Amino acid sequence: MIVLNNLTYRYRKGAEALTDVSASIGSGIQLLLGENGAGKTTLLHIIAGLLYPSSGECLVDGADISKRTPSQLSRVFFLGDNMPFPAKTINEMVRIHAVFYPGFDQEQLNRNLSSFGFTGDEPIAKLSLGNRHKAQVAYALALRTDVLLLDEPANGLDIAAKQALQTMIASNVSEEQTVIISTHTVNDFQNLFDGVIVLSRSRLLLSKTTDDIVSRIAFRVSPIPAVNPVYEESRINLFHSITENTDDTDSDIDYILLYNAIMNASSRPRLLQLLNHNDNEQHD
Amino acid sequence: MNSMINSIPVNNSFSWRRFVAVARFYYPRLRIQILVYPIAAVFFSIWISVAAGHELAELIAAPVIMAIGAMISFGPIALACRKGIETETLLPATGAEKCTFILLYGLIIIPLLILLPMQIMYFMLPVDQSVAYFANLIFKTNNLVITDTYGLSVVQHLAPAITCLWAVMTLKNNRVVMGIVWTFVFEVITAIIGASYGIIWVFKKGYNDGFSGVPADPDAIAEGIIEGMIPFMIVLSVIMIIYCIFALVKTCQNIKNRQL
Repeated sequence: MIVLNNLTYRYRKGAEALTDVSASIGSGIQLLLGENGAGKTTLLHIIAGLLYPSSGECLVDGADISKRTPSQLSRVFFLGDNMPFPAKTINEMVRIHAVFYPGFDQEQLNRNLSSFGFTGDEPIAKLSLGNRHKAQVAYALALRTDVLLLDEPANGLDIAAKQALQTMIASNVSEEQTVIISTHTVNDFQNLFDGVIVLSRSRLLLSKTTDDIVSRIAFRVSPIPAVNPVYEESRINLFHSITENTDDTDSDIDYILLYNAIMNASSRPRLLQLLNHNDNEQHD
Repeated sequence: MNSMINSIPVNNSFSWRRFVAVARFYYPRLRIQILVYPIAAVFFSIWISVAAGHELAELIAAPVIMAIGAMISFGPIALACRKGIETETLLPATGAEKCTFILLYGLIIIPLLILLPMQIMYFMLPVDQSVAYFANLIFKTNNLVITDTYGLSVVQHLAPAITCLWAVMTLKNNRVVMGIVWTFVFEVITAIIGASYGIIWVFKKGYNDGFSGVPADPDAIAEGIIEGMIPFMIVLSVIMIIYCIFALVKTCQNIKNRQL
């Protein structure tokens, strides 16, 4: 469980990358969304312990991650976008780095690498961007840390590799693990997510499980406009809409639609009110 | 889990086993230096032995002395791997384990990589008795870590290396280039301070008007200068010790609390 308490991060020049962010992030695969400069990478860096918050705290399983104790750091792994490894090959990375992580599974790594056609002896620097990402994600998943943070893991991957990555993540991640994936290509991992976190302009707008979301709102696709939608957009002669879920409809989340609805100034207040409705009552 | 890998214990107290794992983590970026430095030391030893028998011995040996100093001063650059600073920062080891290794390697192992082979070669190489004194002087001057005559000079000679280490462990970008730059700046500043004092002292002593009142004996003049510089050297060394302690503390803080 990751708990963010009034987290604020301020750059030296005073601009805030994160402003008063509070949330509880449970186990499962979480989607982290936000526009460019929203604070997604900053949030991941703080959860990883790479950055210290200017105020507030980030607790990972009850412990302040900024203390950077070995017991905490061995339970969290951050894989950034285009983040190089300090080793020539994945197998060398295993020799020098994996020993710090008690959950590391060599057999899992071998399976992950072979699913991409790798042996682990490929020189990482000579791989293409996409292949490098594959090898790195394969390694990151094999560490089996309690918390895994992936920043744009599908960047540079071809279609087949994205599908393989989605399958790998789904099969590797256990119920107790928390994986936070920051990605702009939401459709690549459409069916993976257990929760959604949305940041915009340094502020947290939404942190909900997918079950919670679909119990409150419904995602509809129809050739005719919906009645009193919370948000609606037209795509290729079809109307994609979000409506209040009054009849316990079970629908698949359209993450792009949800994101656009939150980012839309006119639909946002009503949407967030619907999603946070019971939470507000509890706080009161 | 961790099948086929001997994982290290996960606790928050200093662990020598984890310290060794930290050393292994850094080894890939250090192996070239660990190989090249002793080879260079052997080469330098041979160079000095050859130079000792030449009439321009001091001139020929001077580049070696400069090279040795540079290799020690800039040696910590090897710790500034361009790749993997995030992984390095988040390595699950205590700050004490990381600091111990980095300081041990940067300030003790690097000098020993040069000086130990040179010392061994000094005893092995045949040196003509007529040049034994010169060779001995060169080797003794370069025995920075094990010198018994000028103990404070050890600090002075390690101060550039400490500066380099501080820069490498503090900076987030361009660590190699800026590590070199800051070390060079430090060396230039100390050289200017030393030279300025020396020049001022020489003129105050009356050496500006053709050595009036002073015997026109180069050895006497040199001895006088050295004698006059000793108090300055002592003060400079004390300042260097304070600087080194400060730099080491800051280095350790930056190792532990580096943010990206």
